[in-house]
Amino acid sequence: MSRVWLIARREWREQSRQPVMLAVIGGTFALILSLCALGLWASLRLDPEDVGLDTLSVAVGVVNLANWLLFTQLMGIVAVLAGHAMLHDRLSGVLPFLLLAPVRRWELLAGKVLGALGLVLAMYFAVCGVGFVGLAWVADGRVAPERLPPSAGWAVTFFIAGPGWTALLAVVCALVSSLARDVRTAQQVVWGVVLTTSLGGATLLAAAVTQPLWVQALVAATGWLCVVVAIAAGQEVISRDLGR
Amino acid sequence: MSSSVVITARAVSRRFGDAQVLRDVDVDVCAGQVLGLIGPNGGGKSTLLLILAGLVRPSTGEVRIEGLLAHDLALQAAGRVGLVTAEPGLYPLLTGWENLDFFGQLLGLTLATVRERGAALAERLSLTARELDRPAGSYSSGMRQKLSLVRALLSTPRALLLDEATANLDPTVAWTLYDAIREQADAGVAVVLCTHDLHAAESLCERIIALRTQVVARVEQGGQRVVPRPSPLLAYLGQGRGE
Repeated sequence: MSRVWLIARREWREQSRQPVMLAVIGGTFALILSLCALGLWASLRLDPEDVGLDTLSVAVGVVNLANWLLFTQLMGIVAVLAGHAMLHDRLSGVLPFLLLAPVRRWELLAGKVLGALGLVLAMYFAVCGVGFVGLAWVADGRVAPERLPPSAGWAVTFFIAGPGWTALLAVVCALVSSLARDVRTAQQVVWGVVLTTSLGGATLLAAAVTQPLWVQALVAATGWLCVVVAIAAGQEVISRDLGR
Repeated sequence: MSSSVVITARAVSRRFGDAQVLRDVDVDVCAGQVLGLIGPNGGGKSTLLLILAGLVRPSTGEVRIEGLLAHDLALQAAGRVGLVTAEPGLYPLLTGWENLDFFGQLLGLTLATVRERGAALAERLSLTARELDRPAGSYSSGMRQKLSLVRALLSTPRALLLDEATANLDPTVAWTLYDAIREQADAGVAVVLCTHDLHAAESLCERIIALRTQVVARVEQGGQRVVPRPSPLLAYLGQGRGE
């Protein structure tokens, strides 16, 4: 069995024993989509003349907001998990035993990223997938059908581009955690990276949903290509020398 | 028992920034031999041990384990070196068995092999099956170190390196570990024991190297199990302070 898979599977096993953490993650996704569905439903039932607003534009804005918020949360959660997983191994004294096993540096990075992605993505697909179907049902084809299921654009961004860019951010945060001298520095740097890049990444993805399919495919492919490059570059950054 | 040299270190030095931690250390450890590393805190014991394990590169010099360069060893011949550190390095949310399964499979062992060897080693160290089914985070310090030693021995290593493995353990547990270590040496494993416990060093080790700040001195070197009494060791370490 590949070491990447072994490392990821161990991460999932530990996460599965933290039900509160998983409930918070799933609850966050559910809360965002519930509020957005409520906002969409309300905006479609308001009379524009009564409220003095273009309610259709408000409804489109709600759908955009749902996409953007979910991408920021997905990226942030996975990145923090990946960073924490790397930090945990350093601080708890596990790292020497992994290196001695021997786990190669790229295997460590890839395993941690896969481990951070696994359960969160499963919840994202399940909770958000159902949630977006619910949004599409509320929208009833009248609001931004190209940004909601079952459009191909939504599917590409939701299933391929989103996870790809999330994985990229996770690699970056795992690397930051492997290099930081202490916990506080690691936490602060990870938080800074998460805040800035998840906002930027989510904006890119939310914007990509409305683009032609080839643009969406390009965004998705770029994300996954960058993951491979980041892992390859990252193994040069992480040292097998614990003295460094 | 074979007397072939398993661990060879030649002119090993290590510098961290401006601090010279080790200077020109030569070490040979034969199969079946227990080498003690003693010295004050900051004397370089742990650094030397990690260098022997191939986890820290020496600034100069080289370390070989059965002819292979130590820092390439893990990638070329996994499992030849077993390591136990003061920090057990276990996953607290996983059970004892799950920890062993994970590290054993990383080493390329099958699950059946891990279970078979793990059970025998755990029994030797008085770790019960029930305890191995509990999360490692619920273990006492002694149980964690026992599990760490079981993990180190899963791959039947040729060299066993122990860094303050009995720190903070009560004497009963410490001697359970020491007995198991002695058995490993008797079975032909080359053991390096880094410790502050001079009594244990005296009892277990054929040879003892005292690392004082930057320098190495052989308190005793010879094939026979003849070691100085603790008092000369203490006196020796006392001389090393402040240098």
